[in-house]
Amino acid sequence: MTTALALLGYAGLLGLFGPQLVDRARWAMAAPRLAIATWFALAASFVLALALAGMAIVMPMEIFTGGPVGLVQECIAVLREQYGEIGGFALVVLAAVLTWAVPIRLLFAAIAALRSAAVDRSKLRRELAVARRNGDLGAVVVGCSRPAAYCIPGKGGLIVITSGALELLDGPQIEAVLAHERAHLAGHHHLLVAFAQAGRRAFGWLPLFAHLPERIGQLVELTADDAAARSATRNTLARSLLNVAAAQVPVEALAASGGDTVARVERLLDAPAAPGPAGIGTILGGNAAAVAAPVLIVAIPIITAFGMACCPV
Amino acid sequence: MRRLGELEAAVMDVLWSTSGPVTVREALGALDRDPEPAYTTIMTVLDNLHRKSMVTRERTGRAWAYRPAQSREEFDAEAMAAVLESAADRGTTLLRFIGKISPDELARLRALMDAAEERR
Repeated sequence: MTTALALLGYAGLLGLFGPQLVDRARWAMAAPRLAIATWFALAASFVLALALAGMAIVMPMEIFTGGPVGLVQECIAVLREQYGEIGGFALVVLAAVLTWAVPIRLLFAAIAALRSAAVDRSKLRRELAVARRNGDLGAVVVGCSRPAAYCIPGKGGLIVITSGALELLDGPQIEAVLAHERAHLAGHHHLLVAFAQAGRRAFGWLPLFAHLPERIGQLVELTADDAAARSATRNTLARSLLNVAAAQVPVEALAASGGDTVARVERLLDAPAAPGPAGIGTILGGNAAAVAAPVLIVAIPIITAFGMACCPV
Repeated sequence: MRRLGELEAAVMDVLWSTSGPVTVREALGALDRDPEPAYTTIMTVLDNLHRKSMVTRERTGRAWAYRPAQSREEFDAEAMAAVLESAADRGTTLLRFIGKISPDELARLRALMDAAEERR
């Protein structure tokens, strides 16, 4: 029981205060891929902690001394003995919810997010049914004076650029824009955002998941900028961003996503110091520790129990 | 927004790349498709396009001849606007080079641009 409480406590702390760990980190802007990995490590750790908490409730330590036959009945019997008829039953339900309902809820949320995105994407593809593909650019060119570029993922991916953007930008700048979009497709960034959306659909009431899609959305932009800056220069990409941005019609009363473009340009013009190998090692180690923590919380009493060869619930 | 099917798009492509009005027979001849669609299929497609106000038609002898109702550029621009204004989920459906920006942000970007210009 202590184990389950420890796991729930850990999950609670992570769900409430986890975001501060990454938001405060200065390396996140410099190493967006590491930041993405960290967000998902925290989310995985949270889900794992809940699932293991469920198991820790129904699986008393007897399982490690007795045989597996009649295990569940035995567990329930032990729980009833200890917490009374109703209390024991409530605990069994809670355990089942934590162990099964949490991951299944997440799974269904992921399926829903992916499915609705696929429907929206095929609608957008139909809008572009008559647009001509330009083999040299590897993109579909749409006749439209407004400079814009985007990609539609799935089915090999589709990169779209307007004739307005082709007129506005010079050759290297166009190449930088297309490299940015190619990086989105090659990195399957839409799946990362979809998983983040699944997290919000399932646990949106927790700070850890509430703004996950926006955070991942911004981080994949930075990742794509970095990839584009490897083939073009950072300065060229910054110019493309500025030129395209300056030609947009601004939108009043914008949601929280605003401010991304300024941050991206500033970051390209004045690259923040990326963490060195030691820093990367620490961050990855931290991620691994976050995922391992729930397992360790479960393992410690088991190891202790084995050592003492006595197994109370 | 008028959405086109795959064959409709192909037929519109033929109409846009021809200067004058196009009859069903001419459209069929210009379509480079394998297997070749039936005459009646193209007739139906053009009829549907007419119903969707995508094309105008006039009599030439006993047959109808069709013209695009708007230029490809106009159609493209409308399609593009529909895509860009769509409330589709950011990040999963469509990843834009630049998201929507506020006037305040635009002013800051212009300042950054000027500063970058001066450094040159």
